[in-house]
Amino acid sequence: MTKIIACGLIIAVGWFCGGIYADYRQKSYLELCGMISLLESMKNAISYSRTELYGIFVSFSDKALDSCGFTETLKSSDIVPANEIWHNALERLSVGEGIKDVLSSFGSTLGLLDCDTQIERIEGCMAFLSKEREQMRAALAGKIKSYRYLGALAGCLAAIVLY
Amino acid sequence: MGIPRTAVMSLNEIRLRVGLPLSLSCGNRNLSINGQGKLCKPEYGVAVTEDEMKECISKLTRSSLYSFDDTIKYGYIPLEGGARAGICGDAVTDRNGIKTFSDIRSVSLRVSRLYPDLAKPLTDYFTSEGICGTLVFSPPGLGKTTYLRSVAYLLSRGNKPYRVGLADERSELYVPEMNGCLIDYVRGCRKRDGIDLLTRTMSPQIIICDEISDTEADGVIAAQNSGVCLIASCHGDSLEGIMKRPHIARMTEKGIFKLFVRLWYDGGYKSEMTV
Repeated sequence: MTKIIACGLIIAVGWFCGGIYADYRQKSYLELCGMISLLESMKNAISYSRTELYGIFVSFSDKALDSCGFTETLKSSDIVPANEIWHNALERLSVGEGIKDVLSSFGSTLGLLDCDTQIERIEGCMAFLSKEREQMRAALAGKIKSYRYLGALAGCLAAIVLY
Repeated sequence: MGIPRTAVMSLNEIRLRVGLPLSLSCGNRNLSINGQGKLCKPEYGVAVTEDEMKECISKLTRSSLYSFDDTIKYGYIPLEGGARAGICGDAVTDRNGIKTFSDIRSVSLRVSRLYPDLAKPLTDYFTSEGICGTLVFSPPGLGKTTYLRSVAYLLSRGNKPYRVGLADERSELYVPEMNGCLIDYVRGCRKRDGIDLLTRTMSPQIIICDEISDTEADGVIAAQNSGVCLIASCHGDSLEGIMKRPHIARMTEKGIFKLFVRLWYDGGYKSEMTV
């Protein structure tokens, strides 16, 4: 009886660990979606009303970016230059290094360009991120559940080995 | 710092230049300072780096250079409180002229001050002789805008206040210290449009604007036929010199300007009126 309970616990832990990994992979995807949403907001606000960046940051919210602290860092100051705040905020993301490099390059001229060029840069960054999002979505499709099952399977194997 | 107090009190501009000496304009003097904050020759003066200039522009525009496109193509960034940052550098042009700057290399930070009694001789003249159209002139940087600010302040308050309209194209004339003044201002649009709007909708008794140029003369003449007094300024160092400009001569012939005030700096700001 004790062994059965222990095996059940090991399998449950395996399932849980698989779930954590699945959440991590999904987190990167959700943060990427959040970044695209932020760039869309920036593009609209700048195109239609030339809203200041600090104002755009204060009014923006996204669940994934809020939970990792990205938006909190963006909203932390209206004195520090926006490109510096952007670089500090990027540290909070768990997206891949290639994506971070592109975002970092975008951030280096943030708020230092005329309207047309700023919008061009935003659109260029959005296009790249959208492509990455599609690739990530295709890669993750069906894998989220399989990570959990793999975790449970690993738990089973561990239980078999132990008992 | 080793800057004399008199220089600080008469400071009207701070100029930052990438790779070139920073300078302070005090009256008609240009001062440079070294890394220890002491006055020195320009060749030993402290220079601004590219990163420092970017940081400066970022702070002047609140990290939103794009929201100043309309003024940047005219070479300035309006700041709160009537101050102005003049800019220049590598221009990007289109068929309409300068569109923006790809690289800002110089910034001139104008210090806006209200010297309430600076134009008292002029307003005393108006009290005794009656209001008339007036043109204030001087070479650049000798206080025309400061003088006009004082005119607006004095004429719009006191025992016999006038309704004063400011056609404030570069957002320099009006400052928050103008408390208790009967002033209406239009900012950020061409002077001609500002004068027209004020005349049509705000029924001013006096309109004040800065730096009248030939591109505005026709529109100003048309708007001024409404009978409102215009007090304006232009660059020039003598009455004979400014009268050689066709638009000034034309406006004078039309009766828009009847009084001329020359400004100069000689240890302090001085003025001289000519009818």
